[in-house]
Amino acid sequence: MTPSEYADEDLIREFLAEAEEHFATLETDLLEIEELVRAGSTPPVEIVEAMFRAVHTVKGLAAMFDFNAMKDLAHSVEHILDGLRKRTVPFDVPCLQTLFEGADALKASLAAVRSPDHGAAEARAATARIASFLGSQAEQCEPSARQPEHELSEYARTRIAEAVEEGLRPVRINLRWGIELRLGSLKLESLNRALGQGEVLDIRPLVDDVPQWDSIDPHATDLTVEVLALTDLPDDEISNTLGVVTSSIVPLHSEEAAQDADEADAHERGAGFSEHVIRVNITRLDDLMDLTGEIVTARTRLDELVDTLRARDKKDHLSQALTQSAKDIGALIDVLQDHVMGLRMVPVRQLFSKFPRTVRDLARRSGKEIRLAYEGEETEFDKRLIEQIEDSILHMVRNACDHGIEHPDEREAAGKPRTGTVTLAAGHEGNHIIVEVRDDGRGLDVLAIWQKAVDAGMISPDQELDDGALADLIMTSGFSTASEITDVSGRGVGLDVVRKKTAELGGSIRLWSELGVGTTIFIRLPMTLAILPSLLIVEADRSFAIPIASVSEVLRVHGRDIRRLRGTSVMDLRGEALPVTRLGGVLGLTDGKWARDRKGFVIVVVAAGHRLGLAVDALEGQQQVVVKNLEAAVGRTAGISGATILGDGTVVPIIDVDAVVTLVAETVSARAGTGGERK
Amino acid sequence: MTKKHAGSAVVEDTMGSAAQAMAFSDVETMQLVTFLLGEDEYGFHIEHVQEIIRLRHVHITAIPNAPAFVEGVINLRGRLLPAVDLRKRFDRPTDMTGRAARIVIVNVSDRTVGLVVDAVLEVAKVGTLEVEQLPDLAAGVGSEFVEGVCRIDRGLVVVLDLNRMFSEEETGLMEDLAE
Repeated sequence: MTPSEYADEDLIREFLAEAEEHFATLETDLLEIEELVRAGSTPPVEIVEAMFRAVHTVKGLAAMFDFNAMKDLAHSVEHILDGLRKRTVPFDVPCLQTLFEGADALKASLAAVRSPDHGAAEARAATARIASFLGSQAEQCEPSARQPEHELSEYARTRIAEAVEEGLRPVRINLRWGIELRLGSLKLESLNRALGQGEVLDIRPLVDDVPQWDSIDPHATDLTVEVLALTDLPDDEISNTLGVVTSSIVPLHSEEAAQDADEADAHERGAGFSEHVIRVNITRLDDLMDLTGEIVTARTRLDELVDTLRARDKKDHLSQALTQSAKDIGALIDVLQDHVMGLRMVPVRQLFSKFPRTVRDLARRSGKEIRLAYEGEETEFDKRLIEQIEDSILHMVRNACDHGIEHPDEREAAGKPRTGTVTLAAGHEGNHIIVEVRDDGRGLDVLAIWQKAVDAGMISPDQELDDGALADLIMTSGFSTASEITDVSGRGVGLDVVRKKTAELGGSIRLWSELGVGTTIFIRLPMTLAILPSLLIVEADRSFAIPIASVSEVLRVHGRDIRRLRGTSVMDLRGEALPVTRLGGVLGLTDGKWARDRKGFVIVVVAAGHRLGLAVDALEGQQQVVVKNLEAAVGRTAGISGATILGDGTVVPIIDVDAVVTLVAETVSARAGTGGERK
Repeated sequence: MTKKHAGSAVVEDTMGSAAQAMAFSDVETMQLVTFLLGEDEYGFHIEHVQEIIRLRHVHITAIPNAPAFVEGVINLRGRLLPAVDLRKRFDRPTDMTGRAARIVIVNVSDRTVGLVVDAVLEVAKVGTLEVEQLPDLAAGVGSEFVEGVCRIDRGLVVVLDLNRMFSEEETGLMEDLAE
């Protein structure tokens, strides 16, 4: 597939984005249809229409860009969909399977456009395979008594709607244009007479019956014309009046016509709407967001200057005016920031709709029956955040399907419905968003897990397992691999990734489970990735930011409060021994020692299933910071997740609490191990 | 190697190089930004240079656990850029307090990096054919990033290949070494 040399790269990017959305719609609709067909009901024509429109749009675009393979493929898929919407192709399993394969091949061809070196060959192969499959399938699906029908014109629809009120009924009459018609023995008058009080709305030849030009025999060829009419007479009376002409009369349902009218309206509305929507590359929004962040930073500086000026002379007219002006600008910047943030918000449905296919495939492979349900799918999330959590949701959905939902027989034996349900839910909670993956499967034996954790020395016997601690345990890869509880083993593998990612995004995880009832994993994340409420601290003469989300409390301490206990520094926190470590020591800035007479602060953080005190020299305050990625500048750095720029332009690294705690836990357990041997 | 750079000498040299280059063709000349690391003169293609800032005007924030060759990050109008101390890369004595010290902001293979140097000297026009391969014996620390040496009137300029220095593998390698 070679893009036309005139095609602009930006246009192609836009095309790709649009096609991707259409294919997502196609897949969602296919799954819905499959479900309806399985349940034994006939899918409503609207779904097929929607799919048809999606494929049709892509076909048009593909043709515009000379992506011929995709165009041809879209055309063949469209052909089947057309059959389905006209009810000439039955909704059966082979047809649906073909459509699924068609959808896959379309996606493959899309991937090939994106990176021709990559999937081009695969896409070509898939295209050929699907095309031939579709070909044979289309013939098979095609019923012998095929009735090509014309779509209703705008006029016909309006007229039908009116006529139904007048007591007339719409009919479709197929007239064979035989010798009689040609000789003019059947005139429009006779047709009108046959219809009684009714009228002829439209007469059109049935194109499929038109013979090839070179094979037309003017004396022998019969053509069929379709007459769309309104009448007050019964069918047989019309046939009698028309007499010699072979006719078939199909009553047209007024509902169908009305539906057509509705659809046309919807179509128009849709077309009007799309004119007011433009596609914007998300990196541009990122730039805008960055810029807004800079403005916020610059404004902080301005506020400081204004304050200084006011302190110097409160009565000065100019300084008062300046203060007011700075305030106004500040208010406007707040609005601007909200708007820019709003630009990046999209309904989480965009993310959720990626999973029905996964669930279907997983269920099919494992012989389970799984239904995917949504809750709060209209909740708006930062687009970047959606991109960031997609993998995590996938892991959780997989886990729910693989390990949560039981086999249908097992479920039935337990008195549950044979079909298991995995629910994806989303919602807001203050400045946070919550994503929930819930299954009604076998659940976890929380008591056994607690016992296991106690045996392994990961928690103390008097410690209860709350939702947060449970999540930390289950999702730590070390735990599940060490575990002998069969239900748990394997569960933690992908979830460890989820835990890490969530921590990276400044979020937290909770897990609820009850044996036999199901499991729910909650992820709580900041509304946007761009701004993080943080604690600013000083350690070893340098400033750092610690995300508030990870901080449980801050204690003022004295050097002598910290004791050595079996090679580890600990302090007493309401009767419990809290391991304490110097932040500077972890980061390699100092030797980690703390003089007895030294005063400072201990930041108590909770992450990765551990509680840890981070000793620092001083607190600077709390601030909303704009998070900047450091990876591009210096690569991945252990213990640092990014940086922020303060009002005066200073750069402050942001502590990756999860990494720091993991790092400390590893060294502590290593030290404890060697210490034990020595004894 | 001379340390003083009289303005006239610079002009003469530039013209000399230009005249030499004319003998071949315009395509055969290139412009080098030359700078000092310790007492030695280095240079790289001017296409890479975005801007040059006085080191005194910039605060370099050290990032814990960053690769050793990264001095820290700087805030360039809201962008965070790594500051790489070239003096360390080439094992030259460092003197952070020098008044002439500069940060040269360069764009190399989609990355923007600040390079800390002792002083920026001039923009020299040289013929590409004047750049000679480094004799094997002269290979030292960082020599893998050297494109060649080039003679100008006051001595030799070591021409650096920034693309090689900041290619994916190299930075990856350096990060590995740092760990």
